[in-house]
Amino acid sequence: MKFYESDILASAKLVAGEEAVIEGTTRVAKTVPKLCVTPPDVETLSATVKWANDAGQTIVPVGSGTKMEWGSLPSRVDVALSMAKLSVDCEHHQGDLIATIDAGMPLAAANALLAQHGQWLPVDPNHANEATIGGIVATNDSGPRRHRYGTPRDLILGTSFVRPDGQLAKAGGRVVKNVAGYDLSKLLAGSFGSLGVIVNATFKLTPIPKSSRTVVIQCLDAMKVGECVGELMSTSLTPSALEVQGAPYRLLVRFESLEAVTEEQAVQTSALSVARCCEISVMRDDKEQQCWDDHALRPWGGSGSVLKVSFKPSYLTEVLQEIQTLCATHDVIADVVGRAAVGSLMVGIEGELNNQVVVIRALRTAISLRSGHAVFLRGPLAVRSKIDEWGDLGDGEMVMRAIKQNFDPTGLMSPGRWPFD
Amino acid sequence: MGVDALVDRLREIVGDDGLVTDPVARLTYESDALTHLRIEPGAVVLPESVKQVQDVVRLCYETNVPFVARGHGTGLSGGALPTSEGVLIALTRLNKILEVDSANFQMTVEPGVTNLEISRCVEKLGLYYAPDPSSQQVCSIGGNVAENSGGAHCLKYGFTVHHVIALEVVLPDGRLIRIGGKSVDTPGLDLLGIIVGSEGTLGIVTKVTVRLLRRPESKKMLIAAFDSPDLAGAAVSGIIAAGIIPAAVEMMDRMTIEAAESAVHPNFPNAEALLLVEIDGPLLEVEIVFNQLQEILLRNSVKEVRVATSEAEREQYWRGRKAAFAAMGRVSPNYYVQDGVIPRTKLPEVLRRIRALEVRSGLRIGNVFHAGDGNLHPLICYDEAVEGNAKLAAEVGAEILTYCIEAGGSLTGEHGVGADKACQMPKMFNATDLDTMQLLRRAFDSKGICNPDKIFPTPRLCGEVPGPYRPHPTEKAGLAERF
Repeated sequence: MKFYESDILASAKLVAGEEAVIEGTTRVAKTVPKLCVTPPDVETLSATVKWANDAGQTIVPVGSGTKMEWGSLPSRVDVALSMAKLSVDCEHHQGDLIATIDAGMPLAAANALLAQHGQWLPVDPNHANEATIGGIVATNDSGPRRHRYGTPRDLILGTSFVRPDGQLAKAGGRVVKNVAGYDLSKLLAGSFGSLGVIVNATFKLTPIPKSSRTVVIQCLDAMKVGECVGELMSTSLTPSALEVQGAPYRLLVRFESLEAVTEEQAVQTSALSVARCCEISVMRDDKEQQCWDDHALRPWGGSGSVLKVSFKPSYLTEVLQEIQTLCATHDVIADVVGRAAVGSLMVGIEGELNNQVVVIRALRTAISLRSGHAVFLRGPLAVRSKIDEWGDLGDGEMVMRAIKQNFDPTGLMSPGRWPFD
Repeated sequence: MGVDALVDRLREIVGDDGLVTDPVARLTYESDALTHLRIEPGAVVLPESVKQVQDVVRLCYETNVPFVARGHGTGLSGGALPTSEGVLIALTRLNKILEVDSANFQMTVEPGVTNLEISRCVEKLGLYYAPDPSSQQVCSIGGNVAENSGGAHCLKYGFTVHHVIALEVVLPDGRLIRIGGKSVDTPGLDLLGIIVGSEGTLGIVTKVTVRLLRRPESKKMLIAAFDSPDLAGAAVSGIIAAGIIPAAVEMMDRMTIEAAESAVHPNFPNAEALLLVEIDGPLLEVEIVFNQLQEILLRNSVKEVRVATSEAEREQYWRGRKAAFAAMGRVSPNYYVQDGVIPRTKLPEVLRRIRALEVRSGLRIGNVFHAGDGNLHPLICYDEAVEGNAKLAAEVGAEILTYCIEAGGSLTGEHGVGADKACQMPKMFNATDLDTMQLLRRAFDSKGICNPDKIFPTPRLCGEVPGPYRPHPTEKAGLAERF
């Protein structure tokens, strides 16, 4: 079936309903789409995807849109597919520690419901107040508590999704333990909308911890940061988050457990030998919450580039020093926030655009020497256009290309998101 | 080209001692631990390098000969069942520990290293590898990767997929790829997450980098006796509702308690149901939670609680639990281990159905249950000397799986689909779901030669599966009518 451009709106309305379709007005990943479709139910979603596939229209699924610019931008956005109406159900089986949550539901709304039974989905991703379940899974985004709980990929048990040809499929299960068939939910986690539209996801949940303490350690320099993290990791302390921010550098060490335990571990942390020459404070209650709220805003405050870098954890000090050196040499300011013991940092870079480019390239080279990666998440177009957003995908790229080709032979699902499509 | 014509070229690759030709030696490779499925492999090779694995696979690819990878043969779903017209590639000789990087809590090994060797190797550093399948003394890490193995502690600590960070894989066309890495967040699709648990159908893993954990500061364990499995199940619900995630919660019923008692004398109490509960973590946390646990058990009609007061006693109780499968040999000439998953809260309902089935079939069924995560292991007793008994046991096993799926659970929690359950996959997944999985499989294995006839139902394995009714063209055209 071929459509003239003028027919697109009318034919989309025939499929998705008059109410569900509007002409594109706001930008999605820097492009104004032809149409924005908001399917009211799964059947309409399925029909819309099939229609777009038949009509040769590209589709980009959108949750709350907080991570649309991460990595490469979609090369063509004909139909922005909003998941806003597929956001109603959060089926909580508290006795089984699982929940199946609609993709369009914001994480915050889901966790408010789960909290009624003392449980939660323990992820604290970027833009946590707006981010939706579907978007968090599609980008596999996580935050400080990754230290204990991993990323959404580690918590997802199963998913339903609409394939690029419009068929509804499921994978995984709704129980915490299941090895029947390929776990495609792991494949969809972090696929950036390139293999299908996530309809819902089932997760393993955990009980909400009863008490929290955060030990804030002011570190003199990058060397001290590495020493502190090394010592912490050699003890039997069990932090739920171990964050570095800077410069000036601070470590935020969070303990979440029973009241007596968090109190004890906070005291033990303060007594660490390397921490003794640092300024230390223990935060609790509102002050602690404020500290984490502030932390969560970083490094998104400015208008510059934001990178996500990962490396072997033991290279933390070297990576921090490298960033500092690059900043000094090229006259940019870097804001570093991240998982100190996981080896995953977010780096915000502010400065003259060309200098941002130079620093990003140099940082990527330095990181790759330390078995690591640097991915471009956000930034001015002038910087983006000079950067390979994802960097090297490694040996697996040819298999990724074959997977994309098999799932989306017409190449209409979020095209351009990856170098392999 | 047939596999017989390949033998000389295989010999060139792996040498005389890498090609198993002795008929008796070849018997070993006819099955994995699911011994009632047996096929004589076309050829058996024991490569001793990644290059040899690659060369064998490349040869198979070029000549369209299927191949099956095998670890230590402890699998319980026929995942390593060979094909008569193909090559069996046993990875037992790839058994070196390649690197221990304790600063980064990582270790890289070859696939033939056993699960327990990994933890033993780093024991002195206070580290360990978390997934602990009951067969951990003998099962290989390569097999664990293929099956996404769990173990008694996976409710709290997760499965193999959560503890493997990098793999080297020989693809079905012989190309070698490295995926994942020593740092997190390798950009691109999560191939690692999909290869772990793919039951050897997407390639052959030749190197595995695992994540190590620091040993918990403290561990405490108790066993609790109940007058019925329902009461024990209610106690587990009480534990979860209190916000406690035990390191392990195992349930055994009367039959398996008695079998274990007679085999390894763990000194289990006489009871209808037994819970083994372990709490681990920081010393203070364990103390407090362990007291809470005992209060919850008392509120839930526990008959008797025995706290393991020493490491020896803790090990003795665990030995009793881990011996439960093998101990069935003492109460029955043969037994078939089933592996299904149910939402934990559906336990009473599913157990009632299993008991009714026991009466109806006349076969005794014992139950071992990973009670925290809902993984049920019914042990179906039969006597293969009795005509039709083995077939009946298989039918009973299949029926129990139907109960699991009807309760919202899964066909398999940790043993895998393999050859054993391929025909049952349509009970859990519809045609579109299975077709979508095939899209993935073909991206790795366009020729369908890598561990064929596993996971997916085929007419050859399962007979023609009747599809939905489709009108005959003559009927559609109004030329014929259906009565």
